[in-house]
Amino acid sequence: MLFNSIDFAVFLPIVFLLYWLLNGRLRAQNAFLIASGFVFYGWWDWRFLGLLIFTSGTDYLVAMGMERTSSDRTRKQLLAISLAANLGLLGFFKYYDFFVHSFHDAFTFLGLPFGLQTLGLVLPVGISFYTFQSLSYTIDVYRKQLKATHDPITFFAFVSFFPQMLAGPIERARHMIPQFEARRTFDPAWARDGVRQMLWGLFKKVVVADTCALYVNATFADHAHLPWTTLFLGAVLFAFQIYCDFSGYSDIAIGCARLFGLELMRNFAYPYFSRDIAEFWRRWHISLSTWFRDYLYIPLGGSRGNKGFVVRNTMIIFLVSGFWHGANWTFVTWGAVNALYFLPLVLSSNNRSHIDTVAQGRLLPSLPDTARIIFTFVLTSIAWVFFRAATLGEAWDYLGRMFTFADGAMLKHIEPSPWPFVLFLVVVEWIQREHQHGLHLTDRIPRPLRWGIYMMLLLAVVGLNGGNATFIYFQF
Amino acid sequence: MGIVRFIGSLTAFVAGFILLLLAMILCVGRLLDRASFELPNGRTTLVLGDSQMEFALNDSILDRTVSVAQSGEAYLYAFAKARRFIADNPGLDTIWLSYNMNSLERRQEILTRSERYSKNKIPYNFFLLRASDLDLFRDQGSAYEVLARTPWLRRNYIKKALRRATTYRDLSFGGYTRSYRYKLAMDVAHRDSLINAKATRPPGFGEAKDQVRYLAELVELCKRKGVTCILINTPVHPVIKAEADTAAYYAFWREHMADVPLWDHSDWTFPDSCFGDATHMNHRGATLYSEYLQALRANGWKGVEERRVSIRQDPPLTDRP
Repeated sequence: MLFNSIDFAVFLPIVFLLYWLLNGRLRAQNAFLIASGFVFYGWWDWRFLGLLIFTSGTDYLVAMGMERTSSDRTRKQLLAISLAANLGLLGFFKYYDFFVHSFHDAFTFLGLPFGLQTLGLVLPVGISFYTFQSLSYTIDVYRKQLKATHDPITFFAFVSFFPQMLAGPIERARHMIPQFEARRTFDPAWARDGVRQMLWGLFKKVVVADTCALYVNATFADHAHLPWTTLFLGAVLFAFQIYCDFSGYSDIAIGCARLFGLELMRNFAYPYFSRDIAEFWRRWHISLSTWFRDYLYIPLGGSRGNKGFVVRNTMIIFLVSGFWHGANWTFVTWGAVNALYFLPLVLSSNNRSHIDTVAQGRLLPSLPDTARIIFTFVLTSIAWVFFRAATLGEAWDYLGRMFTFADGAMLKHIEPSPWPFVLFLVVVEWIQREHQHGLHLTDRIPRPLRWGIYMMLLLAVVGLNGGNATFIYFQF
Repeated sequence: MGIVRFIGSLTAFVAGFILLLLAMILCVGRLLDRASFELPNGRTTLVLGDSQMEFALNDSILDRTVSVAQSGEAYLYAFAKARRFIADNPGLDTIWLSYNMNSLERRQEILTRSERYSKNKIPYNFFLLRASDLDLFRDQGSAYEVLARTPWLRRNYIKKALRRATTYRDLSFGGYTRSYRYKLAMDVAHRDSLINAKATRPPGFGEAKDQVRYLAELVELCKRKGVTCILINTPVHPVIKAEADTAAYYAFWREHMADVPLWDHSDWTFPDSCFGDATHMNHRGATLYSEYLQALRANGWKGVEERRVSIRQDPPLTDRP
């Protein structure tokens, strides 16, 4: 079920009302959330619910087993089972065909026979997200940072919580399970802000991202014949498309969770106002970056040790992050490019130079900060070309034409132009950059004005919501 | 209590929003409705129908004729247009209506019952529909979505209508379209392969319920208002006839509309260069076909009901692509 569909507009109020009718009966509420999650997921394809149940069931039993044993060896074996189950499923559905294809190419190049065939597997939507979320639980229990939950309903509710099960934020068990174990009370102010955040997320997705997509798709489809200026604008607009598509989803998920009295972690913190790449990565897809930091980077040794060690760890985390996004060398290259951007900062110990909000307490940034923001944005936009291109060849060709100032025929006029929406987004988010989301309004603003703003945004969402375009991150 | 107030407040907001949206849709409807449907002086024949008519009949060549045919047009919309034009033009005496080999095929139900067509038709025609017509969309969620998008989709017209008086020509809901397609060979090859593989779909002619209903209503309307309705099947490439159920096509006409003239020109032979694809004429074909009809008109329509006419000369076009 898509957040930007009529189905969801009907589903959400029904679930909301029934959920709060069960108020005071915690297990019933959690069980109801599981059922809602299954309906939400099954709306796409009920057959893949089996995978979700398998993942959740395995990790629940593994964690229980870890708690019951005092043997480190057994605990390690149980963790291995969890890792094998989660990463095995993910690897099979997401990477099997990719590896078979890549090995086939390599063997053919060497003139050797290769027998395995691709299977043409359908990628179960959300598998990269819920497997990582579930995996964080068993790792935390293994590390004894979290007690295993004895109640399967609590655990299943955590994994199958519908707002974030398909595209995150990738939550941590230690953040969410205590919330599922505690009695919830309805906080109107909290819920109101949740609805506002959902509206802002919808605006970003439907109005900005989907409008940018028209231009971006046309640009990438015909890049070989377009002038460099158009290609540059296409790359810039893709940067906005991917941001608004994904952070829009996160905003809707976080806002939606608030309606149920639950708090999800922040996933985006105005990343395009970053002054360097390190700051960008602290503000972009925070739940994944911190997941890799906690479960991969730090266990590898982090930034301690000699420079070679730091380079190795940085490369690993960025390459794995790229590979997590998709089984294609374009994503791996995107990760590598970001690693190359990041390495000079970490090697010169400048990766934490900008940890505050830019131009805090001021209306406009200083000139140096403006230059840094633009420079960082251009760097990320260039890297996004690898992310968007279908093949590495296409990405190189696109960038090659862009940087050789190639000439070409102008792109056919595309209606509506995304630029007014992009400009509106940048202005609003700049003003709101010290708040959780772009539509964080205090109740001190008169209600008619607030409602007027909401209505304008909603009118834009309704007017531009053509075709219920799916979210980009569903493919990961 | 907090949750009750929250729900109350949210409900009030949503209700207010729906009212605002409805008011906007009504305003847009009023603006569209304000357009003049008066035909230019001396024009007494209206061309209605789908893409075959839209591409085949050039109303700048045909005397006294105005085309508002449009691709993907269901009889529902043709009927709605006919009602309005007849009401606003007492001088209108003839309607040429598309009736081709697939007009009533079962699959044509999608013209009224699919998002693909609704999204392109509802914003342009909703103001012409009766309440009973809207009932068709009761179970179609996508139709509500499209209707809600109408103020945005018709923004260019709104700007125009706020500046000056508009006519049906500003509504973008049909008219002769110059087609410069030359994809006949590709289309014929594709259709041949389907025919050879016996993969053509069984047409089920006469089984598209909404199409049948509104065709009947349109014919009935014309009779009631004293307007001559003529069914036209425009020329097509012979490959189409190989996959069409001609017997069912004629059986339906004889059974339901035998008193309505049928000009079946689907067997008229034109050079291949006159077709954009197997079913649609291109600008070259439309010119030749319209000139031929114009000549027949001058001759009191003698021979217009001929089933076989061969037009082999190349059209003398000045604006050939």
